[in-house]
Amino acid sequence: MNPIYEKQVFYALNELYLDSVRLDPDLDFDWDDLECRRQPRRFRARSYSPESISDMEVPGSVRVMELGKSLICCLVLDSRSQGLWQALQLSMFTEFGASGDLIVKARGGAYLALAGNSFLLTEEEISQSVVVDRVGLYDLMKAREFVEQPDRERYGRYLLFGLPHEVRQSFVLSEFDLSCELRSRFLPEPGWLVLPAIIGEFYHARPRILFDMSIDEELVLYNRYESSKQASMREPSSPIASIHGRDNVFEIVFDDHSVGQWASLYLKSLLIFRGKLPASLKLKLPFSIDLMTLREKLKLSF
Amino acid sequence: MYHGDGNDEVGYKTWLWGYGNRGLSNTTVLKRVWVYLQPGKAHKYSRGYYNLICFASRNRMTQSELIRRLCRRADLDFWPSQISRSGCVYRRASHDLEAVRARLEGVPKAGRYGYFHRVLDHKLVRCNKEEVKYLHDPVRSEFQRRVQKEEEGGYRSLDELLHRGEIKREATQLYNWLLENWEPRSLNVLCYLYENMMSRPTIRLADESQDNVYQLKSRLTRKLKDLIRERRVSEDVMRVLFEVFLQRLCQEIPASPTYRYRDEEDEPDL
Repeated sequence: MNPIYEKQVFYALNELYLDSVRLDPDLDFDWDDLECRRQPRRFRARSYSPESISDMEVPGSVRVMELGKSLICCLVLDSRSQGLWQALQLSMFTEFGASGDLIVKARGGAYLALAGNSFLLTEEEISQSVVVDRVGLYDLMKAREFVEQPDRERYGRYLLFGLPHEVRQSFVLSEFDLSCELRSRFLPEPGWLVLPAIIGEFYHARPRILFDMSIDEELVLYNRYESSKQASMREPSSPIASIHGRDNVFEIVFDDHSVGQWASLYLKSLLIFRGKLPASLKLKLPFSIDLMTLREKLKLSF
Repeated sequence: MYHGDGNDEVGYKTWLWGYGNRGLSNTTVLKRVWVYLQPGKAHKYSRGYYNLICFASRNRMTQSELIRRLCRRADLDFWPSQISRSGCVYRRASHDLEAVRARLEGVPKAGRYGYFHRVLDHKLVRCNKEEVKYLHDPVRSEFQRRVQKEEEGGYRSLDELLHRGEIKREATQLYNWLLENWEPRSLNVLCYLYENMMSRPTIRLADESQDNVYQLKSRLTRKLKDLIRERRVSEDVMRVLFEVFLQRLCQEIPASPTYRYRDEEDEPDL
């Protein structure tokens, strides 16, 4: 039987979660009344690189890797061609789970994976990551099936009673933000963006979240614009040359000056692409929208 | 594990004071935690526990502050929470020690501290999470803490599952049932899956097309799901079955490069 928690637990856990995905939080210590200082020293997990990776060790390993200022935890599933490995992002915050997500039990505890949050890693990235846990064969099989099976249950009720909607939302957006750069590198078909299946969950539950909100008041828990505010947020019209399409399938064409530049593309508050801009990107939404609205909601940040 | 009493806090602070203005470097803390984790060292090295407390205090400061705040709100001392989190890191790290040691051997010397730090940091976050949930629990009993740990699955390692008689018994029964009731061709697919996951070279299903293999895998997965539902097998039993009995099973089941074994090719598919 699942335990019942008060709402405050989820808010506290969310605070914990947001800190846990940050790389090397401030190690400075307030010594209070102790007049004792230490020399702060930062540890970096970048300087290791095992000489070789053994195929036997990699699948099933839960790894933590650094990406910018963030930490990503993932389960390596299997090897793909050209030295690439498929990985599924994991979080130990299983309390934020909903049916349609996957719970895997590793040796150190349970992890939560969101549908559609898998990506490919290079051998170098694998060798620079840190193994923090390991799942057994049964959970590895479950995870592989979770990634391969397209017809799984997408949306559903929360696993724990009382989980506030905004906490779940903040968690999901953060998880997909973290992996966006990795997911944008190897699109399954050239130019085709993969939108997290989970946005359907938001859309069905609260359509306002993507398109009708005048301010992002519902995203206060997760201040995703913190970094993008510092970058220049150009007008959507300038780098986007044109948008074609209808109903829910669109092609976004970028101008020649923007192609090849490092950019983040937002659909309202949802980060949908981060990486070097190709000439165009194709987008399939789980709902219909007119061209003008889409153009208004798309934002590019360089 | 000695969890100490109120005086321990004084002892800890005195110990930390002893390092004077230069303080205690993180490298030293990590080195001592590593020594403290070694089997048999905890008894000989009583002050070693302070290093764990020091690690839990210095790392993930925001989380520590959150826990401090929660303690204050619940009118509880922060010190027992420090002890509890450090003990949790100790339990988790010592449980995982051999695996970490093996991995560290493959890491260049210069990067070992960074690697070990990241491993401990991951465990600390999990321990902080447990603590936050515990502090929100109105009963806040040790029983609740134990139940919570079981929910988390944190201590259901394979070794522990194997020591749970009823799970091992069920897994053995399931293994025998599979041998008796599943056709060798299905077991061949199961073994293909197993050997594939273990990255072992295999000739099983080698002559089947990729599409066929995909179909066979999907069918097997459905069959396993049906098995779990119909026989009411728990996932922990499946875990033990996969980890322990599958290797034995796959040694007994002859490998076939096709779905059907050569001698049954003319038989109708049931």
